[in-house]
Amino acid sequence: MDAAFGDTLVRLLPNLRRYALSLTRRPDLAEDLVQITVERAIAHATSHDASQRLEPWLFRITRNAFIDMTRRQRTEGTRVDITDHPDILFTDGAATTEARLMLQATQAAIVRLPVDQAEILTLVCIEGLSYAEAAEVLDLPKGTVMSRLSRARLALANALGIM
Amino acid sequence: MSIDDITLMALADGELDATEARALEARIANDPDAQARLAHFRETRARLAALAQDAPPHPGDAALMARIHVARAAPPVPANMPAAAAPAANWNRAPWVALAAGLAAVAITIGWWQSDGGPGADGLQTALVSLPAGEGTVLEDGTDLTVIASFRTSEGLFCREIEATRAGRARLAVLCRKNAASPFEERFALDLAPLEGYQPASGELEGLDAFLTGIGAGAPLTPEDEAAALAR
Repeated sequence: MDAAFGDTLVRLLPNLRRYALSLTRRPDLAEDLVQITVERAIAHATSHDASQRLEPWLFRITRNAFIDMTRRQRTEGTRVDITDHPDILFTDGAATTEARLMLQATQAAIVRLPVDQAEILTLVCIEGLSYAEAAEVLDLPKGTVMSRLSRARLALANALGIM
Repeated sequence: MSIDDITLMALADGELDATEARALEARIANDPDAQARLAHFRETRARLAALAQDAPPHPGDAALMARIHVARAAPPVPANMPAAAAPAANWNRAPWVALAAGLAAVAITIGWWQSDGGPGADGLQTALVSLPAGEGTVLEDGTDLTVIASFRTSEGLFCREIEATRAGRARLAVLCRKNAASPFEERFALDLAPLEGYQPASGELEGLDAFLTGIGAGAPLTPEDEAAALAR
């Protein structure tokens, strides 16, 4: 693993955690996913095409790990929803500025959306993936990504009362 | 005809090229409904993008960063091999690990090299006292030998870890000497046989790691320290 790969991987830990959280909606499972992603990324570092951005490649690993995880968990009882875990929303005790309230409102609105909408909002609008990159991560046609993203944006606008 | 949401969203997200974007902006200049929908997409994008900066430090980060740091210093290892637990002498084993990926240990055997002064022995000793880590040579009997690393043990032995291939067989060995007057003697060896497909070699290498730990192997010598040890 070359140094640049390692540096980028470290830098993207918060991004991986955020995406994992949008998938699992549980901090403990999100952390497991991030760990699995890091291990797999290290093990397969040489298979990453250095001319491509690392983000989509890593998110794809996270997503595949999530799919593996949900297959196994089918028999492990009910998952706890994020709405029962308000600690997931970063309430760090910092000054409750208007900007912070707005961030919290956005986060709260995302987790009330269906997972597939929360996921695509996270990938494109928070993590900054292009439509094509998101399509690659989600293994969907670009047109499907665009229609799903458009629905998710309108649902979010509704939830935030900005339309 | 009214402009669809997806096209407006693509404009808000910067997915249109400059020409398309300008054309669309001109088209909606006098279309309040399209302007309003475009504003929704821009607003949701901005609200979400603001979250990108909002990633407080996480307690899980330290362990993950340490893990990545270890992997960055190490050669690529099989995923199930706990790199953090590996002894220091592991660091220079990149060529070996690459080789091990396609091989499996069949037995630990002694006696690949003749210690009775046979044709292979002199060449081996010459290679061991002359080659720096990372370099290789082909011995008289056709053995292709590469020095992986040099280290000292807690008892002061000077050891060299090598890999050797001959006639389709491969072997990893550690040979040590007490002082410059003594020949290198084999202390550990693994014979490997080619296997079809990918075969993680963690089990075999763990055997080596246990051996290295057992003899108190220190960190691999720097090229300068190694050269000094060889010059004696």
